[in-house]
Order: sequence, then structure tokens, then C-alpha cells
Amino acid sequence: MNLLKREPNGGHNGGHNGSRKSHGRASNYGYVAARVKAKRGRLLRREDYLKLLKMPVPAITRFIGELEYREQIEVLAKRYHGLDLLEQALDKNQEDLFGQIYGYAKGELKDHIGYLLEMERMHEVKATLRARIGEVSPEDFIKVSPAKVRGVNERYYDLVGILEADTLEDAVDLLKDTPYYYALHEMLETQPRPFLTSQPLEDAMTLAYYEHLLETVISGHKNKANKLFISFIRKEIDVVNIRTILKAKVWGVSGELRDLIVPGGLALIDDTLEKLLEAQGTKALFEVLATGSKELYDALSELVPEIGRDQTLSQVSQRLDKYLMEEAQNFSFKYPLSILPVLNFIIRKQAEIDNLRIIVRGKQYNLSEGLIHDQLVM
Amino acid sequence: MEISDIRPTRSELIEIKKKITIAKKGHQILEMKRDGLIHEFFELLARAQDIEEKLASAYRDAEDNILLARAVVGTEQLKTAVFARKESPTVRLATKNVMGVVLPKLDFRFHPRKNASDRGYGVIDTPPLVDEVITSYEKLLEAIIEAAELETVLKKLIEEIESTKRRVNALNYRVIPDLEFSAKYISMRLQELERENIFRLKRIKNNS
Repeated sequence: MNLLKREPNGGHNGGHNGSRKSHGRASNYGYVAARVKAKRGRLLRREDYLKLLKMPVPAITRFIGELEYREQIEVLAKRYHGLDLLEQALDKNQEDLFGQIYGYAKGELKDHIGYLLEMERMHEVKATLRARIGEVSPEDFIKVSPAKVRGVNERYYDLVGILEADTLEDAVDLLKDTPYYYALHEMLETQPRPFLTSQPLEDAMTLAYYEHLLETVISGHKNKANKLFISFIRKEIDVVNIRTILKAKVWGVSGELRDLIVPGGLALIDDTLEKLLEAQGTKALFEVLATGSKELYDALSELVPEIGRDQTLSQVSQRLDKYLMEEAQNFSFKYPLSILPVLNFIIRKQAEIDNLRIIVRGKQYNLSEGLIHDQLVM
Repeated sequence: MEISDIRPTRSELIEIKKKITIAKKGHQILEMKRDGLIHEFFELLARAQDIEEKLASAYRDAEDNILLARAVVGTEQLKTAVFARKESPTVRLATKNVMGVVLPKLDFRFHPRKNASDRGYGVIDTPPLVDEVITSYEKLLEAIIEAAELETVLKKLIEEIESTKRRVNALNYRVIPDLEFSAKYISMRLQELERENIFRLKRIKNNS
């Protein structure tokens, strides 16, 4: 089964992968911004989450069923039940919604939204490559990840094809028109085969994704909104890099940590980045961060005394997500007719899906209210 | 030993006295071994209590982390992270000798604790919570192996202490008293034979 459909010009049929170009079509910022604004009004607010935290699971599921998730719950009710149904419905709702927005958009805006949504597709490809290298059968993969291969959709990669390909090179060939192809191909040539794990391939994909994203957005229109968009992407790269460095300091990495750093950050570059990489221990790292990026340091300052213990990195990650969400929110009001409100909506919608899952599953697993609250990004 | 089985001869007496000396030496050595094993057992018992607590705490941490991760990153992402697993941790069984007792010693052939890049999945954008779950299960696995080794060692020590105790008691209450009884019987019998012989010689002398 090949889920990839190719256009005569070699690109994907409407797929939002890195190879597409807007071909000079005009962007419809006004229309998309209006649609997104209407959808943003339906997002849950902080008070809603606090109310949900006090409710038992049946009341929460009823509450969610009365929101815009009803349609997906009804569609998936034949295949899933209980909280699995709810979790799948939340994911499908996000996917459908983002698909709609992508469908409305035209021109450069469509390309940019495509790139934002590409992150999720990239994770799917990574999980598939991981399964391919781990010699997981397509049947077992589908059992674990039914959502990843659930439909013949123009936005999907040929995940089953990757799993069934004779060799890893053949699997990578299925990604020929994506930004990942050359990075993956190069990695396959340099890595010793019997010991190959998915790690170098996955990290090469992430590096290729950001490199391509920055290149494309920088080569686009030079207006102020785009500059802010670029600035946001660079802040996101800073966040990705600080997360990687912290992981390396806590758990260690084999090989060169520099190879795992995404180029193009905003604050964590040159000397600051070098000092962060060289910092001995997390305490020294935060001293560098305090001078290198006050914004990032402030976002994490409450956790600084705790950092270094295993269990605090997930809290750091959650604070960094919150920091990015606030940044997106700040940008979104400056240029309503740009990609920025869409970016803000996408981040907030993803946070809503994650928050609802955390609340429902947290209640199911009897996690304390305080612990659930700490995991929410709101 | 039945009295009828005892040959009341001087050579038998010498043989039995040798046996008594060996049995008493053996008894002393076995008593020392028993005391040594009991001492070793109590030392390990204190460690076993610590390991039991460590195991319970590692299990609680692992359970808490996986439940939190299932809520925060979703079950699917956790399960797909497991696809990266290329090798299973295996344990090599070696042995060590403590006071003549062969005890098991477990060593990891592929150590479960790995760094972030050796776990097989991408370092850059895998949520740290996934690494936290994996770290806590790595710690749990280590604690399980440590506890399993110690539990087996303690069981073996108890068995050996029991068997040594039985040997000590057998020597103390059965073997040594029996040998001493035999030696006493032979020496009494030899004395009696001596007296009979003297009496016989006197009778012969009187008759002639």
C-alpha cells in the first residue's frame, strides 16, 4: 500500500512536506485569520481546566463529548471504547482541524502552515523508521500506532511502505521528495550497519527539518510578520537546543554533543552556545543561561535549584513549552493578517489536546490533582 | 554401634582413639564454619533489608513515572519508543566461594543503564519524560537483579547453615559419644581380659 501520491511535477499531491512551493499564488491571510479566530474562541480557557481538575472522569468525558469532539467520538466509537476512544478522538480532532486550516490556506501561507504541521508527520516517520530498524512487523506496528496508518490521506507518508521495504535504503527512497532524504541517505552511508539504531537517523531528520524550515521562511516575503515568524522559529530552536544540552548533561550522550545542536538559534549562539556545551554540570549551565538568555532563564528560574535530578527535566520541558506558547501569543496580536495567529492557534490547540489527555488519563491513573495541574500548559 | 560389632582389641582401641581425635577436630572446625556462616548471613540480612526498600522504591518510581508519562506523552509514543530496543539486557551467572559454599553471582552482560543517545531513539525531540520512564525502569531492573542475587545467596546460606548445624550436632551428640563409649568398652574389656589372664595364671601356679 502506497499512501504517497505524486504530482506530475514530482511533488506530493498537496502534502505539506518540505519540497512544495507556493508557485507564486497569493496568500489568503484575511480569510484564514478569520476562520482561525472563530476556532480560537472555542478553545478551553484556564478556568475550564481548573474546573475539569475537580470533576470525576465520567463528568469530564461528558464535558468533552459536548464540545467539538463529538463528531470524532462518534466516528471512532466502533473501534475504540472508554478513555482510549476519547484519546483517539482528541488526536483525530486535532488532525481534522489542522487539515481544514491547511485546506483553507493558499500560497505562501499554505506552505508555512504545512511546515508547522509537518512536525507531527516527521514524528510518524521517525516512529516508523524506528520500527523498521527494530524489525517490528507491519501488523505489530499498526496495533501500536493505528492512528499513524489509519487512512489514505494526501498528507500522509507511506509508512507501511517504509516498514515493508526490502532494505533501509529502499525505505529512505520513499522519502525522496522530503527535506529528510539527503540527511537520511548521508547518515545511512556513514553509520556502521550491524549496530545502526534509529537515533542518528531521527536526529538527522530533526536537524534537516529546522534547516529547511528556516531556509524556506527566510527566503519568503521580507515583511515584519515574517520576520517575527523567523524570530519565533529561532526561539523554538533555542528551546530545542537547551533541552538537548540538559538531556546530555543529565543522562550523557555518546559522540559529539555539537552534532545534536540545531543551527540557527536566536539567543543561544556563538560564545553562549559554546559555553553551554562546555558547562560542567547543570549549575554551571544555568549560570551561562542567566547571562546568555534572560528570557529562557526566567522561564526556568523556579526550577533551577531542582535541576540535575532525573525527574526535573520533564518539568523543564513543560516550562519551555509554556514559554513558547506565551511567545506565540505575544506575536499573534501584532500582525493579525499573517501566519502568526495561525501559529498561535496551532500551539494552543495542541496544548488543549495534551491538557485534556493529561487530565483524563491522570484521573484514571489516580495521579494527584497537584501533579496533574503541574503538567498542564495553560 | 552394637556392642557385638566392637572388636575388643588393642589395635581397635588405637583406631577408635584416632577417630575420636579427628571427630573432635572436625566438630571444632564445623562449629567455626557454622558461626562464620551465621555471621555472614546476618551481615547480608541487613543489606537485604536495604535492597528490599530500594526495590520497593524503584518499583514505585517506575510505576509513578510510567503512569505520568502515559498521561502526558500518551501511550502510543511510549510504545513506539520501545521499538528502538535492539538488545535485551542479559545476565551472566558466575559463582563465588564463601567458606566452601558456592554462591551465585549475577553480572549484567549488557548493562541496562544507557545514556540518552544509546537508547536507540532520537535525542533531540524525544520528550524528557520518556527518558525519565526508561531511566526509572533501568534502575528497577538493576534493583531486581541485585535483590534476586541476594535472595538466592541468603537461601543457599540458610541451607548450608542448617546442614552444618546437623553435622555439628551429629558429631556432638552421636558420633563422638559413640566412639567414646566404644573406646571405654574396649578398654574395660581389655582390662577384664587382663584380670582373667592373671587369675588363670595364678590358678595354674597353685595347681602345680
